[in-house]
Order: sequence, then C-alpha cells, then structure tokens
Amino acid sequence: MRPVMKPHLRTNLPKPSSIVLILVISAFAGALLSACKNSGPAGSSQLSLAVNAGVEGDALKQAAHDYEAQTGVRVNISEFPYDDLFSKELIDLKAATGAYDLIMLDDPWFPRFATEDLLTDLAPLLQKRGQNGPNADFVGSSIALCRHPYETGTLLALPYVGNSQLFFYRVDLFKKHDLTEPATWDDVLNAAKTIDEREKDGAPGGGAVHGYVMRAARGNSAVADFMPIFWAFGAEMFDANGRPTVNSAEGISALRFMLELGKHSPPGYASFNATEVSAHLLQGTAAMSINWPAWIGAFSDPAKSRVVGKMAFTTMPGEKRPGQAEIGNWLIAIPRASKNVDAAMDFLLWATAVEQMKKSALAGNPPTRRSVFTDADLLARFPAYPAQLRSLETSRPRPRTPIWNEIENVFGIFLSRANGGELTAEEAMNQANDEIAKIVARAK
Amino acid sequence: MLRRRQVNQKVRSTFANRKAHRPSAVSRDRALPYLLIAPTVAVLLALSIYPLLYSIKVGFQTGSGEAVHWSLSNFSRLATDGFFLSALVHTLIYAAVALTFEFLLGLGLAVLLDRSLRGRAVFRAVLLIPMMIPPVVVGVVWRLMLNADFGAINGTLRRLAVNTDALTWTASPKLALASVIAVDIWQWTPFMFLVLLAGLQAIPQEPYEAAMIDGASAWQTFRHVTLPLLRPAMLVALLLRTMDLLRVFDQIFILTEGGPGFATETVSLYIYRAAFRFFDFGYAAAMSFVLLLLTNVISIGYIKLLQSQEAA
Amino acid sequence: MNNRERRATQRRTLARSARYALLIAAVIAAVVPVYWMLTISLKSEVDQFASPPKWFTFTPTLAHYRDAFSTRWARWRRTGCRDFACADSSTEDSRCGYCRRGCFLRSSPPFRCF
Repeated sequence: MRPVMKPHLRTNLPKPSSIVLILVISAFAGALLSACKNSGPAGSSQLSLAVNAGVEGDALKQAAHDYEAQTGVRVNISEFPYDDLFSKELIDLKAATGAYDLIMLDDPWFPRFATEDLLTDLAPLLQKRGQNGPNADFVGSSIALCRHPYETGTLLALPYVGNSQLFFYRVDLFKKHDLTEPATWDDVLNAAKTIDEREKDGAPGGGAVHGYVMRAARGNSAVADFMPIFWAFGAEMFDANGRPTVNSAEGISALRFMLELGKHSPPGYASFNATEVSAHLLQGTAAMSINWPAWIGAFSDPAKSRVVGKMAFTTMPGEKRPGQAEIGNWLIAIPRASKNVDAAMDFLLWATAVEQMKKSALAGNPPTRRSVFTDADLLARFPAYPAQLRSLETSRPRPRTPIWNEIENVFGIFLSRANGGELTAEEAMNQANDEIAKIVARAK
Repeated sequence: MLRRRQVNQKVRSTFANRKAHRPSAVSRDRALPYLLIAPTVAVLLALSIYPLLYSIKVGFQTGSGEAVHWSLSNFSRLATDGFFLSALVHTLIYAAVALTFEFLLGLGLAVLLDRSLRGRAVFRAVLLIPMMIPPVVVGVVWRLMLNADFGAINGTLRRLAVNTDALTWTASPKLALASVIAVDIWQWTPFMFLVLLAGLQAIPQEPYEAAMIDGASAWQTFRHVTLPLLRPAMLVALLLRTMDLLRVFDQIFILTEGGPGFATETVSLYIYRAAFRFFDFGYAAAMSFVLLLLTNVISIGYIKLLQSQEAA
Repeated sequence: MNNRERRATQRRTLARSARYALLIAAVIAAVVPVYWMLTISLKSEVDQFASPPKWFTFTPTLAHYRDAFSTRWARWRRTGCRDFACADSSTEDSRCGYCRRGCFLRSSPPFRCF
C-alpha cells in the first residue's frame, strides 16, 4: 500500500536504440562499400569503351553492337559530353585503373595523352597481325595526327572521323552578283563587301544579308575560325625553338584582316560560337563562313534551313600561302593500362575497316579512308565529299603541344577582345604572345 | 509523514545504489546522444572537412605525378595573375550590384504583397516561378532571348523602331556584365521577396497600431517600425544571397562563358577552367581557398551585425 | 467632411490601382521568359531563330518532345535495324540516318564546340 518508487532496473539486454544504431551504421557502411566497388571489365570477353556524346559516339556505339552480334564479345559503352570526356579519360588513364580498353579522343587532346605515355603503341600489335603499319587507305594527314611526335613518331591511335573545316558560301548570291568561287581571302573580302552593299534587303525574312559571319567567342571558337586566316597569311604560332611568334608581322596582318572581315559580319560576332554562325547561315542572313562538315546536312532540311539548295562548300581560300583548313579528327586509342589490349586491337581494326567506316559515314561522320570518300553510294548522298577529301588532305593540325588547352584559352581571349573593339590588332597579338610565353615557361 | 520520509529515503538510497552499483548504465545514458549523431558527423567529416583539407593541401603543391613537391608558387602566382585579379573584381561588382537590386526589388514586392489584396496567393505563386527554374535552363533561355540578331528582346525593340546595333547584350564588352547581372536579378529576386515577405508577416500588429496612434506617416512607419523589425530577416536573406553570388557559375557559363574577352569571367569560372581545362589543380585549389576566405570574412561580418542587432 | 472623405477614398483607390499595376508588371516580367521557353520547345528550328520573333504566330511541333523522351530508350533497342538506312527511305532524314520508325534514333543536337 505504500507508494514505493520502483527503481528503474537496467537489464543486460541492449537498448532498442542501440540496435537501431548498429543497423543504421552497417547499412551505411554497406552502401559506401558497394559504391566504391570498381566496375572494370571482367575477362577477355568484355571490352570497355569511352565515347563522345554526339554523332561520332553514336556511330561507334552502333559498331560496338554489330561487333557484339558478330563475335559475342561484349562491349560496355560509357558516353560523356565533350568536356567531361576529356577529363574522365585523362584522370582515368593517369590513375591507370584499366577501366577503359578503348577511348575516343579529339585530336587536340592527343599530345597530352601521348607525352604522358598513357597510350599503347599500335605498331607491334599490327606486326602480330601481319601488317607493317596502318593501312595505306587512311588519309595521310589523319594518320599523321595519330603519331607522336607528329607525323614521324610512334603510332598510338587510329583515326575514326575525318573532319576538317570547309568554306561555306551562298552560290546563288555569288551567281547573282557575278562573283566567282573565292580562291584567296582578298576575294572573300571583296565578295563580302559586294554582298553587303547590294543585299540590304535580301534575306528570306527581310533584312540585310551580311557578307560574312564568323565566330569570335573567346576560346576554341575564335581560334578555330582564325587559324586558317593566320596560316594563309604566312604566320606561325611557334618558331623552331618552341617560342611563340603570334605577334610576328604576318600574325598582326592576319588579325587586322580578321577585323576588316568582321566589319562585314553581323554585330556582336565577337561572342558568336557555332550556334549563332549556323543560325545566320541557315536563316539566310549571312553569305559566307568557315564551318565544319557536320552542318552540311542541316542546310538541305527545310525544318531547319531557309536556304535549301543554295549553299556550296569548298576548300579554304589561301593568301600568301595555299589555303589550309584546320583538321579536327576523332581518334581511337588503347590505354596502356588496359587489361585486354589484344581484344581491343581486334575491335579497333574492325571498327576502322572499310565496311564499318562506311556505316559511320552514313550516320554523318566524314570517314578517314580514301576509298570511303570515293565510294559511289556515298558520293551520291554526300556531294560535298570531294571537297571534304581535298580539304582533309591539305589540312593542318593545331599545334601539337600538351598545353594547347591553356594556350588556346588565352589566345582566344585576346582574339575575342580585338574583335570586340577593346584592343587593336597589335596590342592583342603582343599581349597574347606575352601570355603564351608565360604559359610555355611555366610548363617547362 | 513517516511514510514519506521513508519513501524519500528509499528513493535516495536507490539512486545512490544506482550510481554506485551500476555505473555503466549511467555512462551509457550519457554516451547515447553522441552515438546517435556519430553517423552524421562521420558523413560530415568525410564529405566536407576531408575534401576541404585535401584541397588546401593540393593548393600548396605543384608539379604532377611523381614530381609533386610543396611550394607556395600557386599562391604567389595569384598575386601577379592579372586574370585572377580581374575575375575577382568582376565577382565583387557582380555580387554588389545584383545584391542591391535584388534586395530593393524584393523588398518592394514584399511590401506590395504584405497587406491583403485580391488574388494575393496567385501573385505570390507566379512571382516565385523564376526561382524554380534550374539556373542552367535560365541561362539557355536568356541566351536565346538576348541574342543580338535572333533574340526576342532585340526583335521586339526593333519592332518598336529602336536601333539595336549597339545593343548586343552578352556580346558587347560594355553590356555583357550588366546583362548577366540582369539575368541573375530576374531569377533571384523572388528569393529575396520570399524571405522578406515572411519577415514582414512575422511582425506583430501592435507597433503599427502604436505608430498610427502617434500619427506617423506611411514613410515614417516604414522607416522606424518596419525596417528595424525586419532586420533579422534582411540580414539572413542578404547573407545567403551574398554567399551564393560570390560563387556564381551556372548562368555565366551558359550565357557568355566568361566572354566577350574576359569581361564576365568570375572567380568560379576561372577555377573551373584551371581545374578541368588546364588540369592545373594546384592553382585551382589555391584560388578556391582565397574565395573561401573571402566568403568567410563577409559572412562573419553579416553574422556579427546580426548579433549586435539582437543584443541591442 | 465629404470632400475630404472623397479625396481620401480617391487616394486609396489610386494607391490600390498603383499596387495592382506594379504587381502585374512584375508578373509579366517574371512570366514572359518562361513563356518564351515554352514556345521554343514547340517551334521548329526555322521559327526559333526567326527575325522578327514569332511570339504567337507559329505552327507548333512536338518533334522536340518526341526527341527528348524517345531517344535514350530507342537507341538501345536492337529491333533488327541494320545500317543507318531505313527500309522506307522516304522517311529518312538525310543528315544522320534518323529513322522515324524509332528503329535507331540519333540524339545529338548540332550545337557543339569543335
């Protein structure tokens, strides 16, 4: 009857909260461990491939499917957007995880991979298969890109997509104003002036037609559109000792010419990239430009283009030197750390053989084999192929240096500023040269 | 009473017994809270503190692969890098201008919607829409709209017979930073509006009634009653927004990528470029550290301001 | 008394209309870009870049939505579509072997940095 306070007895059983705690921690640890598990290819019946998210990657993916159907070797594909692809591949190859057996790379990235010794030498693998070197059917300039040092060194990749710039121009306007296909950049400037004067109302939606359109957004855009002019005027980025020479007399006159040509471009071109340039060409508000072959198809699509059938494509104009387009090939290489080098080589040779390259071409990727460029079926579908082959054969790569990204970034900034009117051609080139020299010095 | 004393004695002795004879029980009691938060702390250490310390370590190293060594060169390079100093200036201008406009516009909208009016809920919901769109999408849409030739803005201006030759927005070295700031204001004013509206609605009625009795005008009421009582909310909104503005990346990357030239490059963009285009992680880490210090200093300033206001 | 009351009421109505006007202006500023985004998703490329801009007078198309929802899944379907040439060549987009039958859909937009 007495109100006794019963003491709260503790037993030896663990408290419910401790059980929950243990469960939570173990579940957590389990989750962490499973996330860290490396998913590399198991055996030689599996290959792992890193591709670009785009037209080129799509074609290689289709090739992988066909290969699997034919040989039973499973090809796992990892797809990344352009910038991510570079960082993923570089980081993975440097860590030598062997996660990828084959990688797609854009040719400006190649020097970086090659100088850091991350790729397998393909020559012994070819010898094993009874070949002395890459097939002679490959276009010379494309194979040259796959060698380190450029053109003469070890073969470290095979070319898959043979892009090189083309010169686009409105053949109907040229005929209308009695202009001939431009052979030099002076021709281009004259044609631009003529069209500017006489086509003040000639655009399909009303409004003026600009003689020329270019992209001068900082970075890759400006540099890609400037290099053909730069080279045509006889300028070089580096001298024989690797010192930058962009502010040579030729370099400055090349930039001056670009600024002159820019006066006939739509306002704001100093920030244009591929989107705006193609929009202008497709809407018919600009008459000439440098562009990549991937755009050719869009011009004949009425859902995208207002100038169906009016565009022509030719090789790059020259000036003091014959015209040279900038080359931009996609290559496929085998990382040194791959665990399935032989199987990867088999796939690589298969994917770059004539039959598969033809399929890739049908998907919109320019080939890298001469026989595919001259194939009758493809010529019927892609009338610009002869021009593309000529352009590819005479094209030039961007300087083969592992620090190209930084150099292109800085060069692009000053080109963009000059085109935006902030700096004169001399100032821009001098400052660019100083900055590039700094980058080169730092990299030593 | 005897019983109660007996009961009390019993209770006290039981407690004493508990302490003396079952120490593990009590210490388990004390240890339990720490055990419960241990997973969270572990996650925090793993995902926040460790990467921070690692990145600081990377900032003090140069070279790559085998040739890594400790050096201060990344930090000394910061002092002489004209690009970094420009980027810093751009970031500070961006933050200051955007903050001011967002604050004033947000405050204005909050005041407009504070008192009841017809359709208030609809207005509030619609005004929050810009904030709900991902910054990348906002960047894409505004880039299309601000396009000098094909954009909706210039197209409409041309219809109104305005000459748009000089108005190349994101393409013009003079207008690019202003255009990018304008897009930021468009997207984030609703955030300020939301926080300030909540702050306004939390103010009780009595001060207003007192002011009305004292015969204060609308402006005087606003200045001497509303603003002081709104200060905590204001400081919170400003603090959050400042921290976000100092590290702005998405919209600028899509709208101009830092161009034209270098006109809209901010520190975040430069860090991204250094890390993922040039693969110079040491330099990127050094810049990140500087940005972190800057943000910390400013945030501490705000918090001190808030504390002084609360003490007052 | 009456006059003053009337003036006070007038001022209040003016204030209220001003509030509504400002709020409506803010709503328009907030919503117009979202509307533009919606129209871009419904316009063909030719219309997207048209100058002067087409706010209301365009023919809508659902092609972009179809692309967004179907591309990822269809690409991995190997429903016997060999090569990139469709059996029915009339539905083929000459650009990159885009088979409208859903056999093998290409995904990449043309906008890319080279």
